[in-house]
Amino acid sequence: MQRLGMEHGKPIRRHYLSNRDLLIIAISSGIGGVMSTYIGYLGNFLNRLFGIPFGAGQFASGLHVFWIILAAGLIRVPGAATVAGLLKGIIELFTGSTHGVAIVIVSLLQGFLVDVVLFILRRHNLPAYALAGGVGAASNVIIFQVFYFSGAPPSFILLISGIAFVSGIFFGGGFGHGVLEIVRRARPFRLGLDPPQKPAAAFSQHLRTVGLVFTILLALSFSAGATYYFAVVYEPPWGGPECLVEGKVEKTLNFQLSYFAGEETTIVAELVGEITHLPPQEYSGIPVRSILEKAGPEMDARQLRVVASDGYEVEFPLADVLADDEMLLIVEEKALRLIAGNYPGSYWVRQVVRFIVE
Amino acid sequence: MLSKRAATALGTGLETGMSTEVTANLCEPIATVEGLSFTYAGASNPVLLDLNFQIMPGEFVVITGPSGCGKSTLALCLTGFIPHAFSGEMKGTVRISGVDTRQVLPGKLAGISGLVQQDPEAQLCTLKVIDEVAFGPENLRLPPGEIKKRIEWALGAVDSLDLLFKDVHTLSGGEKQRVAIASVLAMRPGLLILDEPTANLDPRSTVEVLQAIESLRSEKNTAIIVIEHRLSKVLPLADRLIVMEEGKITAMGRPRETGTCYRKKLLIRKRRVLPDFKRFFGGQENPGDSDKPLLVAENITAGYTERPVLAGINFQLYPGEFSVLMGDNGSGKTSLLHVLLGILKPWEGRVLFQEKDVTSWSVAQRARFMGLTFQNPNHQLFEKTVLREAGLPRRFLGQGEEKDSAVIENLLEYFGLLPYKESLPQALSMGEKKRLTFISVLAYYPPLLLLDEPLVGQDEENLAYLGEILHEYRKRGGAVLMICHEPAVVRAFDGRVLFLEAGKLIVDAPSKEAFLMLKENGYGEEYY
Amino acid sequence: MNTKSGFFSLRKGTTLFYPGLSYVPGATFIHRIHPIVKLLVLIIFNIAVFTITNFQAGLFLLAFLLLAYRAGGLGFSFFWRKLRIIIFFSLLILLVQLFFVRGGHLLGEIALGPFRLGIWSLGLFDGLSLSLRFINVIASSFLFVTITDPNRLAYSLMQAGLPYRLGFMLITALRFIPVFHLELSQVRYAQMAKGIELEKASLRRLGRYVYYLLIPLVISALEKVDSLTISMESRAFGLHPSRTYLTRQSLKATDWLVLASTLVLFLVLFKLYAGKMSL
Repeated sequence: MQRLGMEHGKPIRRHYLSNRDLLIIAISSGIGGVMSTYIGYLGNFLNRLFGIPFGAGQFASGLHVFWIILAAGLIRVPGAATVAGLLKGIIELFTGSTHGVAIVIVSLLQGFLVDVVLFILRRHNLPAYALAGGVGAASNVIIFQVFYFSGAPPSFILLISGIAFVSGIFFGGGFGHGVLEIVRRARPFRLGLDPPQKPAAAFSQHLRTVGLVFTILLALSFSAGATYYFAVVYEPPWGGPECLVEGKVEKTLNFQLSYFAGEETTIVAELVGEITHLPPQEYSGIPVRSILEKAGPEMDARQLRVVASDGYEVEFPLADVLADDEMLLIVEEKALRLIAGNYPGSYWVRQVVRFIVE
Repeated sequence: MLSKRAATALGTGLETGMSTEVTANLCEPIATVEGLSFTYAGASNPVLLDLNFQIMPGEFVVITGPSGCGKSTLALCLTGFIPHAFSGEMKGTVRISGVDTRQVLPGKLAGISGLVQQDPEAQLCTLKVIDEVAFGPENLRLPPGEIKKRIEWALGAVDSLDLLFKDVHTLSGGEKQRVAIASVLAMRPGLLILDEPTANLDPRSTVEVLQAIESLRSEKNTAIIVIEHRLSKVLPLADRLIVMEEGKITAMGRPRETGTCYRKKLLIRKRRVLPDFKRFFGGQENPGDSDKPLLVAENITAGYTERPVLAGINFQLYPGEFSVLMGDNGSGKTSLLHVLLGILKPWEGRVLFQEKDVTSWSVAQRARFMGLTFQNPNHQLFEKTVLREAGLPRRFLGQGEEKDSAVIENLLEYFGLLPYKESLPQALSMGEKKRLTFISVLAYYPPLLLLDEPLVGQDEENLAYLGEILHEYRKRGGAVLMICHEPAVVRAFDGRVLFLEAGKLIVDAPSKEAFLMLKENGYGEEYY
Repeated sequence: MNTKSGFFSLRKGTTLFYPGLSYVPGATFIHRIHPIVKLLVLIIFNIAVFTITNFQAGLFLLAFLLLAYRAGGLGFSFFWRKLRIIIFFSLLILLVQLFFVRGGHLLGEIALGPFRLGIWSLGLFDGLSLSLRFINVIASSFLFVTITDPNRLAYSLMQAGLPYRLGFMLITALRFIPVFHLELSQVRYAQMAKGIELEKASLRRLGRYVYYLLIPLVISALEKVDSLTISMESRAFGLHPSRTYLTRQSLKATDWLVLASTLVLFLVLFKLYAGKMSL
């Protein structure tokens, strides 16, 4: 590849990406954009057959990364895949991608990841393309989950990312490598020739092994991290500890403390139990009063039964609770705990799951 | 007119090349080529070998020669892309307006030496004609007023001012080529090179482009080099003809004499051995039952969206018959072939093959007895070796798993492709690719061949081989329907002419009569 | 996977799903807004869509969009024609949320044989908010594509400072889209004529068939690169760091007004709804 020009006998480096490189990117992104629109609609067609949004289309997702790998493999300069991804996304937007502007970000990220993998591996061969294709293709699942979290359980996300990853390996990396091989031999262009392959020195061989290991680790941690994030850290609205208010209430309420954002209060209370005794300390949470008011206790309701997940339960006179500022529900060890400042320790129920108004 | 600012933008030392100044130096050559040789990296033989010539300002030079003689490489040398953008070894010097191309980047020669290439599609880079013509001057950082003047002048020079506000993708091939010429012209080059500018065009567009080139002759300040296969059209315009063969200049001089000399030479080339037709096409020379039509097209009306492309077409093809489908681009020739094969479903009408109604048959079913080759060979090469490619339709259309690969090798040998049988089909030259797609269809020996411009890009030698094999094919009862633009070829094949005009079949007669009818219908001499 | 019915049945796929979206020239007020302003409004709109998760805000944004569609002379039938698939999917999202999210008030119960399926307010509101988000992102993109000339956008961006070598990548890619569409159909025709039927590809041979599609497309596309590079470089492309333009795309007062008012509108919306959750 001739990025060097000669002027007055001296080689000068004009641009990081030559005009020819840019045009290769433009052409492969253009045709990729045209094809991807078709592929996208076909994916949706399959989705509809399955009745799952963003699911079966992943079988073809490697074909989206193919064009990025093609550009990267033809140009072999870090950054080319990122540019190709961005441009392909824009073309897809303008040719009517079903994902709208989101496709620009998805495609850009795919390009970037292909660049990252190829940069770390520092080689252009089948395993490198396969890994780049897999990572690139799988990334779109993650992005879409972030954008439109549709209530899919982590196992489902993992499954479709897995499908996308495999599709990326075959359709993106495998086909990418195969087609590049043919392009290299067919020489549809003579303008500028591939750079002579650098002799593999012992050191760089070493570097490659390290790079390979590093990339695999990176890819693994990337997917593990993503899974962890969605499975554990990310709290979808229905995640987190929940509690049900039922019985003599106007509206049965299933809630998390996060619904009462803005109503947190902090009290100082002392736990006086038969066995445990904790000195006065601060507790932050939502007053039970506010929660009950949201559900609207009926006029003839007299008492509140607080039930824990293990079946333990305590009872309070409802009127007292509704007037009590020292009774909070807090999150402790990923469960709800009742803080009853004006009551002895046995009333401080752990793992609260139900309020029954009677 | 070039502004002072632009002149400085072009760099110092090049001002002598500016069109305005050229008039003052009419005796200084615009291009000087001395001892030029070039070998592409990886190739063993040089493409160009010790070329020496000069081009004077305002001169009109035609360069010709068989495929692969190095004409296009020479064009790249004259625009500085060799040695800058192509790897290889260049010897000798090329001076454009006194500047050694080795010493400057190709971009710096922009505005001095301009190149219009063969494929009109692939050299337009913007969406609108106005942007395309403005592209060069804008890159030269000219002020908008000057750009505007140049657009008007350049489009005017090729008689295309009416295209100014059109979208590029709506243009015809000829219009695209005119825009390509105008966009190079807008740089006001002292030397304009046109590399087979009419190779991909139909007769009407060819005339348009040639007229545009002719009107450029009056631009005294621009020297023009036209690289052409088809001499008849451009030779009358030329001041000088240069003939190249195998990288060398073999003749140079006044157009008429040099041209006649060159053509004679082409005729005494050696012939290749004909393949074993008996083994291939079957034993008997039997034109079949020529009373019964092989194919009948009945009242075919078809189109793509709402626009009908074909209206009420009726004709019959008989075994052993050779028919040529002619007409302008957009007249529906290709669509007609598509309807016959079933790619395009007709709105009305029927297609009968051997008296069976095949209108509702699938493409794959029909392809068994109708072999179609498309215009662009790039769209129809799928396999990884030439041999496999040649046998592909045979395999897919169920004629056995290369049971008789000798037949295919025979055909490859005849068309000079046998040495490449294990190489990649996509790596062949355009002409070779076309021959390969033709071979692949011939290899399964359908009774009817539908050929969409198989002759474009073939030199006279291969043309003769193609003619010969089609002749043998017909002798054995095969029928051919071929799209072709060149009356000379049609005459040589002496077949029947079907002429389409805007989707209607207006002429259906033997070639001699047909050409007379076309003449009466007011068609220009490019059609007969 | 039902490959028999045509994994690559492009025609079927297109008639069903391809909205055939592209720029449609027009002379309405929003057609005439400077393309960069349109791009900025699109970006602001989508930031709002993703940061304000509340469904009332989603409805508000949708109303804003419908008004814009209207202002662009694109009626409801256009909206429905281009977006019906999207609306179908968003309904699917809504249903998933309705049936799987338990939260907020119990709105009612559906008895499905032995199962009792509760519909909770949070499921409804989340479902609405997610499906509205989905519709809003895509409908806004479709509107943008329909009313924005990508060519003008690219020229405007270059005049606003985008390096022109990059800008022309976009223009060149756009330039070849119709060419590639044509080539795609040519390749498919050639396959049919040679007896290669993608629709009948079995899962096992799918790979080979995709090769048969990709190879000709890639080769014929890349064969253009040389001609294009020569054609552009011989017209001084990339010679200078900057270039001039025949026509200036300048911002008018109305453009500034549009930009400022959308910005204010979305800030207000943000202030009103951001971080709030409906129960």
